[in-house]
Amino acid sequence: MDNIIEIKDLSFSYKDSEGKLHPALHNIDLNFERGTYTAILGHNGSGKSTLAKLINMVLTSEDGIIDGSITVCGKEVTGELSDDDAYDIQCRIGMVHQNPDNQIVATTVEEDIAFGPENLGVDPVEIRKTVTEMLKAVGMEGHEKSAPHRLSGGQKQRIAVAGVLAMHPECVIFDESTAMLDPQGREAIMSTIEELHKRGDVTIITITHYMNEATDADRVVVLNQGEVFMDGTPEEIFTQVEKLHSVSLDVPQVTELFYKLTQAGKYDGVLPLHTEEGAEALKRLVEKRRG
Amino acid sequence: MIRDITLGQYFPGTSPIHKIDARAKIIMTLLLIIAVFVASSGFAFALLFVVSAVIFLMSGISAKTLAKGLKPIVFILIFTTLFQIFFTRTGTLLLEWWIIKIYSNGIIFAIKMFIRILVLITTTSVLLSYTTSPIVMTDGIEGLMTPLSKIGVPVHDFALVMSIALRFIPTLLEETEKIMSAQKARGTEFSTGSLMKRARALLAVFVPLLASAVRHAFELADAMICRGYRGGKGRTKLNKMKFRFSDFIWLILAGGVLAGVIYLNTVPIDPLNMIFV
Repeated sequence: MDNIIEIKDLSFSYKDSEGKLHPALHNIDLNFERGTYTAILGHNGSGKSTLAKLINMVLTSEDGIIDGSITVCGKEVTGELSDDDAYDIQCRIGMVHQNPDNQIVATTVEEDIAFGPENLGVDPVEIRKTVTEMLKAVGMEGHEKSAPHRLSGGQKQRIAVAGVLAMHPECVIFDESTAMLDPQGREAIMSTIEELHKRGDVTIITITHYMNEATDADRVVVLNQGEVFMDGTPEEIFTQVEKLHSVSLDVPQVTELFYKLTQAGKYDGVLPLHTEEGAEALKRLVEKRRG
Repeated sequence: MIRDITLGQYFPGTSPIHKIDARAKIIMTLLLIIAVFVASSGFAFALLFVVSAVIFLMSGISAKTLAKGLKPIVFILIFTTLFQIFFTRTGTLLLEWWIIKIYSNGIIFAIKMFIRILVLITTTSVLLSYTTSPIVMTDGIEGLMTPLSKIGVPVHDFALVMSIALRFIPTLLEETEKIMSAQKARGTEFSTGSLMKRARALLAVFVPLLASAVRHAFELADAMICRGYRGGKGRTKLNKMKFRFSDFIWLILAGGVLAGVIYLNTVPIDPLNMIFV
């Protein structure tokens, strides 16, 4: 299969100002197939953000010691790379960060979305089309002239997503992009990701510690203390409740509920991941008991 | 709410003054400022007064707004006018009472100074701050300075710094508000106590604010790199400024005012002298 990102036996240690090493990743082997949607889960300090920063070359061999390799779009980003190649990769891998405020560069929404294409030297007429299209893609039509500071956190983050998408990246990494948002904002970003996934041409990697944000992904990778702890479909991962609990990770609330019901001997089906499925299963359970 | 603050004093509108290209406006303002300082005869001041009144009337800015804008300079205006009246000791003596002696030149200088300051503030605020948004202004300054980039002045970087500053003023204000609330909740008094004590209390706001500004800067730099930023070279612009024919006319008009002022200075008759001498 066509892998957009290939990670082979990757280890990384941060180097602090005194030259001391702080290991962050150990022997990671991961491949990301083009067009798929992967969620990377883990605690703070599990190395998930480090991994993203290595893929996008925000972290380089200047920041620490890299062992093994990461290949993005056929180019090894962990090795010697010419400036132009590095630039090319960075333009093909978009990244949405945690704090929406720190990603918005311009003073109006349209100028901010245009920032990426402007850097690429795209023709203004083309940029105008892209801006309109991207605002529609994130459901923010009519906000072209708005000042970013007057928008809510969720709206700002959607603008940041639009700004990244405007560069037509082949892969978008969401690095804890919902962590600073309120529930509505989180909902809006998750549905934007879902829409993007439906389009199918973009590879999506989300990094999160909210379990229920991972249930819609094609694949879930759990990192623990810098190692790949689990890797599989959401169904495979979240039904192994004990294993997740053993590294103090939660499962989605609804899964937790049915896990407890199973333990109490009241339920013996497949553990549901989505609230709707859970509600259905609960309904059937109640009807069965009534008889 | 602090997030509703307006930056500068910009009032959106569609008047002919609003529509002038920012670059043209900056040059016009410069021409008019030169005219104000060059003016010496009464006719020249009359012309400047009329020009600034016309600009003001065309801009659609309300008199109340302008009055509000002039408020901070009322003291300077009165002070300099009185200073001219009482301390000029040339010309013919018009009035003498106790130690106060008022000479004709004092009155003339006072009137000129009054019009000079009034015209200066009115034209710059109406042309620039009231009718030009800070964003457009930044573009205008960048546009005018672009030729300097040929001799190695980092014009693009400078413009980017300005626009990022504009972008982050509301964000940092919001943060200041948050930090102040947090400090108040911990018992810091910002409005009572000795000057020393209050300064110390403010220090507890500035240090975290500075720390967060630095963090903003690092994260923003990362985000900009991720979005393909690598300096001004090869960049295009979504909203390109258009220098229209009408902007050209405006420039000629402003140049005409300066030329008119210089010409009127050479006219030997001065109405002010005729009234007071």
